[in-house]
Amino acid sequence: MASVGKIARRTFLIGAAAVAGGVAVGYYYYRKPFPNPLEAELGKGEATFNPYVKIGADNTITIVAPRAEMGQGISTTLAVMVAEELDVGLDRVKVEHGPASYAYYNAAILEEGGPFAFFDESMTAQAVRSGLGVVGKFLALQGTGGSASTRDGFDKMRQAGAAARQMLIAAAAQKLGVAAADLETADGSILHKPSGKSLTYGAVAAVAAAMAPPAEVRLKDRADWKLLGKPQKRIDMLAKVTGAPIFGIDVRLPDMLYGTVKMSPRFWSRPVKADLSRAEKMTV
Amino acid sequence: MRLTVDGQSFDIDADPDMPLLWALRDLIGKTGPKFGCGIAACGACTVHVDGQPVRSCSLPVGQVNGAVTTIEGIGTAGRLHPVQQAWLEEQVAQCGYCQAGQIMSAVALLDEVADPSDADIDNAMGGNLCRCGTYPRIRSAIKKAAALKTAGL
Ligand code: FES
Ligand code: FES
Repeated sequence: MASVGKIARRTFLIGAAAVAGGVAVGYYYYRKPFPNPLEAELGKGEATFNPYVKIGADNTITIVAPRAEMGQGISTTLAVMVAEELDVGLDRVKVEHGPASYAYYNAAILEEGGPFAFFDESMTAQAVRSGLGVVGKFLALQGTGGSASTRDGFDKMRQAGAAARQMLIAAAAQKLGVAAADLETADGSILHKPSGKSLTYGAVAAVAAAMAPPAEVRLKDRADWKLLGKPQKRIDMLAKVTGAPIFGIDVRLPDMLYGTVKMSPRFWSRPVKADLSRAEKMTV
Repeated sequence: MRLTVDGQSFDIDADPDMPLLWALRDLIGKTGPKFGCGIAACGACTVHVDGQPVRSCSLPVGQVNGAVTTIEGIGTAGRLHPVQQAWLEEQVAQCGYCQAGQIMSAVALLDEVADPSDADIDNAMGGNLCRCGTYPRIRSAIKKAAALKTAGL
């Protein structure tokens, strides 16, 4: 039954997309980026480069991994993709889930929604896949599932890190009065080897974030990867071994009340009487 | 009623029938112990009363005679208990929901048996379920923790 439900829902999505999707709204809307939700929630001295990277004046680097962490390790995986291109170690970054936002839509989650095996690389299968990826953007589902988060994030997250790094380098070049090509990055700092000068990312973050994002984002060669492709420690392990309040059930809101079903303290016996008068007097 | 939890004394206003788990989580604010099943079948809510592991979801708070220790009382991020340290090194947790209970059962086991065999581990940990299936890493982490403890780390 479950799989029938799933197919019906997918059929609906595909059908709806033909009406609301690319045809009617057009390429322009498809290309237009969603606004960066982090702009609304920056801390003091913090600057944001794109929906995935925030850097504070104190060089605190925050990566947003906008998929639900359910033990599959996705918050670590997505953070590594950004950290690799940003040239920082995983131990130097803070990872947050980020707000709910269209900017975090999952394009890959629908890609395998067509009637093809994932290894089918025929032209039709590929065309349907890229078509459904476009649908993903229009529906802008911030979803986690279908083994899609890594595939969806692989380019996006690396590009987010690389773009931020390029902007930081450009800002540092300006500040030091040197050519961007002579600058290198390592562990959250920008070095100018010829003069021995260096700046932290935080020192130029505000200027860098105000710059136009690079027209062309250059990604590292696979051979230069330091983190990707290698086993990493999970960023949330410490919280999980110390009983930190990281689960839905641990959320406490102001004036929150707890309710429970009153049950008979004996197996197999039903409650005989219950005083409901106080409950019944409550206003909803 | 007074309850000693993680070395601190609390004055709480609770129905004596209230399960200890809810007194800890909702009244005292110790959210480390988790609610899994509520019927003593999964172990997610395991805490110690005077060093003995108990299922706090099924123990009425009125019947608690002794000091309660939760996952929050055995170690902190800066000073981990050897069992927590081993859990970190072995990268045991997946979703992590069962792990507070797993760790509390393992701590109680190692307090009793310094160098547990596989059979000891099966015996002590049988009541702690892990839906993510981290059992092989739990077993190796317990052995590592035993070694860490004996080495006095
Ligand atoms: S919640 Fe207590 S044993 Fe499952
Ligand atoms: S780690 Fe997920 S239930 Fe045990």
